[in-house]
Amino acid sequence: MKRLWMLLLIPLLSGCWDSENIEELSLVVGVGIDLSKNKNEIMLTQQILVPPGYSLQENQAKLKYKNVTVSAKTLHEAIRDSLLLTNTVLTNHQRILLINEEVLRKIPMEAIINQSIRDNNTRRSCFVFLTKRPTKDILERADDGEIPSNVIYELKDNVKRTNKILPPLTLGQASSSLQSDGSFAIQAVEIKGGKLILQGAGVINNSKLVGLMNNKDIESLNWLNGSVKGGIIETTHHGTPFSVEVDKRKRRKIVTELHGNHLTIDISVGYTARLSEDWYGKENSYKESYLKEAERDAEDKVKQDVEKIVGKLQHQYKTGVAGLFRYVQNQHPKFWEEDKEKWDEIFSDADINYHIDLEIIDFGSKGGIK
Amino acid sequence: MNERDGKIVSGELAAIISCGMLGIGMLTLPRTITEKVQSSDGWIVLILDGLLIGLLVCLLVAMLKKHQVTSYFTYMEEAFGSWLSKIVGLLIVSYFIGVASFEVLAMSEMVRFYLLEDTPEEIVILTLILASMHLLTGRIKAIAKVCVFFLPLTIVIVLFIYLLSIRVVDLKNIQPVFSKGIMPVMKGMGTGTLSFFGIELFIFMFGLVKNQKKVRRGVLLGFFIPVVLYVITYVLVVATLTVPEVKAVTWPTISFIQSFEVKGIFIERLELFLLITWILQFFCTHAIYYYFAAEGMSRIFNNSYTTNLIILVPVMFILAEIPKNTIQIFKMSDMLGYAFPVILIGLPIVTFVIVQVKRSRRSR
Repeated sequence: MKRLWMLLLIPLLSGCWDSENIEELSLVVGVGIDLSKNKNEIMLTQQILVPPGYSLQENQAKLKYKNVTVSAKTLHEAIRDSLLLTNTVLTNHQRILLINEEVLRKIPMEAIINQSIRDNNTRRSCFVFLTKRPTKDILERADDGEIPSNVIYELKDNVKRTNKILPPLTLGQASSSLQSDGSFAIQAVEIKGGKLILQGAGVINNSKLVGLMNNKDIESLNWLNGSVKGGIIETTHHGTPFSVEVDKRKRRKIVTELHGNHLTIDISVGYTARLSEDWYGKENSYKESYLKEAERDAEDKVKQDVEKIVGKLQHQYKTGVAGLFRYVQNQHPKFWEEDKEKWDEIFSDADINYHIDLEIIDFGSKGGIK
Repeated sequence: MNERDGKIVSGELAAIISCGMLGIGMLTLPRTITEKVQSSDGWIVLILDGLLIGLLVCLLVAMLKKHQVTSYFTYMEEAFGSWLSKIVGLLIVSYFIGVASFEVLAMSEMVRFYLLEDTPEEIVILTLILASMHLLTGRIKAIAKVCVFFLPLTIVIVLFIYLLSIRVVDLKNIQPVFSKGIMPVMKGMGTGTLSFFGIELFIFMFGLVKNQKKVRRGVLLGFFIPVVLYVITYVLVVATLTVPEVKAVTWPTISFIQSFEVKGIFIERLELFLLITWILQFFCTHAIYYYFAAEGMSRIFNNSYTTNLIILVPVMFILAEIPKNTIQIFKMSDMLGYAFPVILIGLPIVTFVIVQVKRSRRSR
């Protein structure tokens, strides 16, 4: 009797129902979304990894990836249609999602990312980028056989060294922002000189693309947002250029004040920095007053930049990309509850004061006394 | 120490209660509570509810101790008489069966969505039921051992995952505290109680504990482990996903873990670990309720425990097959939610009062 039981249990151990051979799967690393030439359709490009050594002809120049492009009315249908061309696609390892500008002008972003958020495989940690060119071109741009998706994925890590890149936007963050105030900036990818670069950004408001930014704007926006993690402030003193490298953020304080419906936002930040380059012939970094002066020049530069971007946000895009709404919500919950629908107007009329306190703590291995 | 006397120590009691409580609640709780409270104050709801139920538990333990309850079913018989107690017992048993099949169902739903898309749900459900049936042949002692083994594992893995999540957590999202005043918090407290599903089991385990003096400590320990985990989960999930997003996603806790990747460890995606540990927790919860259902039936029908185990397999299987979609599954959990306070609060108090009256009359 006991043995019989064991026999009955054998079928339960017979292996995995869902097993699929890995070389028969299409691992998607990047996805691009364009408008299709057909009316009301979107074009989906999926970048799929090709396992090395899998191609039959040995001498063929091997690409590490292949792109599959299909058009359909909805994204999920497009994904399913791509199965007519390739093996089962697996989006578990998707790293980036590229969206073309034209798409976001026509279709709400919420609709575009809806499938990815719903899907059980796509992770919320995948990164979202905007493109000016068709995403198809971008995903085809291979340097030395590198996988374009991975190139873009790795470029975003440079955020610690330069402040001309926006902090990477994940699918999850995009979805959360779309659910709350729906206003944020999204990093764009371009091709320049045959290479993929991160350049420019798009401004999203209420799920639609409302404007574009250049690198200068991004830099200023990062200062406003407090997302500067490094990078350079370049300006001039005594008529010669010099640059200061940002080291660490010491503090950031945001106070919002309400007078009736008029909002005042005071932002004050403190950073430590290093004098990293100085073209001035009579430099004397060993004197404190010299450094103080440099600090002041750099502070003024940042302040000017921030003022410019605030003006642009308030008058050109008319939306509070910078996430400042959070502070209003936290500091004036009642006001927010009543007026959150009018946030864009309130933001556009608000007074935004920005104070920065730079502290140059060292000047590298050369100080120069003249 | 006789292994076969079927008694457990208070530490094991704590582990069983914790494992009984940690079930589907952990995966959906940020959403269900936020829906009711409409702000990020859910963690206050959880803490207040936790303290409230903690007090209630102390009271119930004192009541049970006073009457020296050894088996809850005999105790009910004393209160209601043989026929009525059988009916009440049957209702309780059907609640247990309901929860047991709900837990397997929820687990199979999660497995189908995140792990094994093509495996028929029936197989997943049946495997789990049969596995716990096998475990239950060892009665409460076997469950105790499994829980004592799984609970630390779960806590360590969950806390480890949470630790790595700190990077994506933005505490600005759970401010401001009391943004909409105290009323929504009060309203949310009703729903908040439902997260503590499983605590009612201790009244049925009361007689099974060897060292009666430490029962209260065991129950409270077993109760506050999940409460603390719940509060941490709520804070982290809402702080990462923001209030409107939490309301929109089906499995907020899993979505939360999917929002970050960890570099530098051999594995980047941690939701797999959560899913695996949670299958263990689903299994424990299921097995515990299954046990009490079978045990209760053998009290009511005076038949053998093993027969009941076997009878319950098809019953639970069919019950788990009834809800056809996600909405119906969540509806089933709501229905069981109504029964929960009755069994935790209503029943013991009514029983206590009746027994108290009867006993004092007799002694007069």
